[in-house]
Amino acid sequence: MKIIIIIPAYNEAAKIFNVVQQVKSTGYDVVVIDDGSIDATAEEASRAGAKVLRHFVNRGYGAALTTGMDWALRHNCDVAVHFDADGQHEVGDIEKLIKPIADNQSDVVLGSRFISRDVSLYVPAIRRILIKLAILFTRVFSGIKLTDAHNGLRAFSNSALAKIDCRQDGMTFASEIIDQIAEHKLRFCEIPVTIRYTEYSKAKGESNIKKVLLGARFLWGKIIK
Amino acid sequence: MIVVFLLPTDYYLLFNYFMLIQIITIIIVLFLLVRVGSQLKRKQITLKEALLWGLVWFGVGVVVLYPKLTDRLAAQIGLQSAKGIDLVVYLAVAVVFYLVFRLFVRLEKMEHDITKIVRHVALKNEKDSDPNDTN
Repeated sequence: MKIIIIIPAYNEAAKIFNVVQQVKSTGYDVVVIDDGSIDATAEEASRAGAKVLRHFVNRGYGAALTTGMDWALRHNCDVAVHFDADGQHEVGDIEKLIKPIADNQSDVVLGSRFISRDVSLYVPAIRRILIKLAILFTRVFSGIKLTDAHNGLRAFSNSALAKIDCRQDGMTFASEIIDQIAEHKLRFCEIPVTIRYTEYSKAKGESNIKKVLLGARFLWGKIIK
Repeated sequence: MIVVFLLPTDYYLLFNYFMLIQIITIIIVLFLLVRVGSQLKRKQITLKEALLWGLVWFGVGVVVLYPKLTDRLAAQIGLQSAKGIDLVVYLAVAVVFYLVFRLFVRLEKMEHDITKIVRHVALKNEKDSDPNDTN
């Protein structure tokens, strides 16, 4: 079975080498989409042994992932996994994500940080409220009931890759992809994963106000699609 | 000073700020009309677009010179209490809203097209660099 880990990266030179190396150490192939970084992200990723695709202009999180999924489809990958470049995900979770697809139980597998009652999981309070709102938002507009929203860990089967058609370039991609699951009636499930909130990942993340505006941005994109 | 001759006679009696605004607006309108003409000549816009913009600016000119016209128009379409100039403002706001919406839609399409190009280049470069490697 051909499995590819897609890592979108924008100015992640400090972290990308370790992240790619960790993923590669578990035996998976990695494709890094360097989304127009102005630092050495592409070189670092390549040095760690990843295949690197370069956006020569920064196009956003969604655009980078879509490029990666296009690539996976062209290379007939059986499973494509989204993985964040800032080191907030556990490499060990990848295997758990792939399993439902390998067993042909699911087309899409979504990581969730809230499925297990893991007491060690620390999510900042404001972040927790925002995620709850996003979950509600997803339920209202896409009709899909999830326990987490905007989790960067996702896995897709080849047939899911072929059907999904995402057009939103930015972070709203995370909402659009759920919408696509509903639209194409793909089989999906959620798997508990661990998120590590580091100072680094918090500093890289978008402001909370921007996160709220994402909802409006997503709906606008949906209207004029 | 052609502009001055174009003004209705009763306006000569009270040369006030309103009139000053009228003159300035007319000069701007004439300038824009000339620009539409020259753009058409250089084929930067089509005849249809030129006629549309010409009509828009001509309309603005007429309203500026004969503001009373809009009062009659407003009365005719049933805006009894409103002054004609209010009607002009309503219409202008509606047009601006529409244009902004269109701009947004077009912008979105352009963004999407840029992404397509960037993606195409990214995937193509990969192919060029090592065609046999499928990772």
